[in-house]
Amino acid sequence: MPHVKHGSWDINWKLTESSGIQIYLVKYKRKSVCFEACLPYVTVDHQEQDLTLTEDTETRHGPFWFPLGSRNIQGEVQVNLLNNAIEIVADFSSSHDGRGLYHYTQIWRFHDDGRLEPILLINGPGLHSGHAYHPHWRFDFDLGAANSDVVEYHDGSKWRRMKEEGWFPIAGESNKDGAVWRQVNKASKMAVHIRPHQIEDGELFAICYDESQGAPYSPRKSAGGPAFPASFSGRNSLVKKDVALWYVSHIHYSESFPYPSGPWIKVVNN
Amino acid sequence: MGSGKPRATRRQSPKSSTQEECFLPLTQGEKASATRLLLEDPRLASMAKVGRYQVISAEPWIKKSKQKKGSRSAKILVFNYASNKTLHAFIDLQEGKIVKLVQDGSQPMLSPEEECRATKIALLDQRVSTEISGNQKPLAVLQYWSSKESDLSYNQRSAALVFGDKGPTLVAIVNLNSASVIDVVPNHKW
Repeated sequence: MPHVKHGSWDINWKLTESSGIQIYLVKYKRKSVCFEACLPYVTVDHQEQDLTLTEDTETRHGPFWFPLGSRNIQGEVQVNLLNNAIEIVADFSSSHDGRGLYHYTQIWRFHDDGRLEPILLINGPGLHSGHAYHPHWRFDFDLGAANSDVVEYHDGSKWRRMKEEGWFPIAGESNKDGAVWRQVNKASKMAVHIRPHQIEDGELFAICYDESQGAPYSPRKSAGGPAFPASFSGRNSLVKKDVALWYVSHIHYSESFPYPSGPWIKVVNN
Repeated sequence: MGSGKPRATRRQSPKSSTQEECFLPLTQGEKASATRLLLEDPRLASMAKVGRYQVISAEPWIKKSKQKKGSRSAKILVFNYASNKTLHAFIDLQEGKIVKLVQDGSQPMLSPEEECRATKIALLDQRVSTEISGNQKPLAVLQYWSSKESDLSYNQRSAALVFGDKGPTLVAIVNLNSASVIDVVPNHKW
């Protein structure tokens, strides 16, 4: 199976059938960092940005999506060596023959200084001003014994613990390095710090790990129900639990396309 | 010539796999075994008999283990058109058994077979065929659900097919439950 070693990174990866390139059993400086992470889906919906009082501006069309995987990859997965980094890249199209409306480029970039950048670029002739794109990444970080894991958000002055599952949008606060959320393992002292890119509208969901949540994923649980990951989330305690993090970004067409969406993640070994 | 009783063979327990091996994509043989195990399960006999189901996807199912070992397992999604529900089946391939079955109203991606079926349905509709040239292939076949409760696509399995010669011109919404085109929308309104 594809395996990459570069600098202090040791990465296993594979092309899935429905959730893009999955990385798994990832180590940094010989310490486990990530059990698995992938891009379960990118949903698209119609959100009018212009208010016209003569028209019904209610969302005309609900979300739609197509899986990113082996059946619509364009070419091969590339592993590129960069200055101080290595990246794994794949292009996907909404049509098997590549003339599709939507083109997605998925990138996993691993920097020598411990940064991990999952990136999604959205292109194609199907994009228009009424659309909003919502990539969903799922991370199952493995920083040590799960019952020593703590998930925290920064309130502008200090880190605060997330005690229950839930949705953690950005309220503007971050630590001095810009990190908004972090997962820390109190036993191993390993941590991952997370923040959106500078102008990204991103949010984090922290959810108790459930082994049935693996690929293939469905974006919603029931008709009219909330989309995932919101519908995974209950009021379960996160204390001494294995946790899965979902990072969801919202990209409106007004962004300068192709806009590189995705969280900024840094492995910190305290 | 041997004589006497045949020697008893000790039943070997299935070999466990490393964590890395558990992540490997399923082989065609593993997918076939998993699907067979599922469809032969007595709990699913009525679904298999009625035959209005579609296997959507089968991917490796990874269970965490402190021993860093496990058994090759599969997660299969089946959409049952008869009940309008999705079945999530979790199968241990090395033990040859179904570990867990869950049924809910989730809408998984379209299978390649459903994409083909949706295309055929759309091309037979006059509202679509008069607007496009020849037997044009769609530019995209998307899994779609409406957020309006009054729409059929709110709770039934649907596809949105985008057609156009030089660029997208129209979108046909196909209801896969009733095998019909339920809406045709100009692309600029999509």
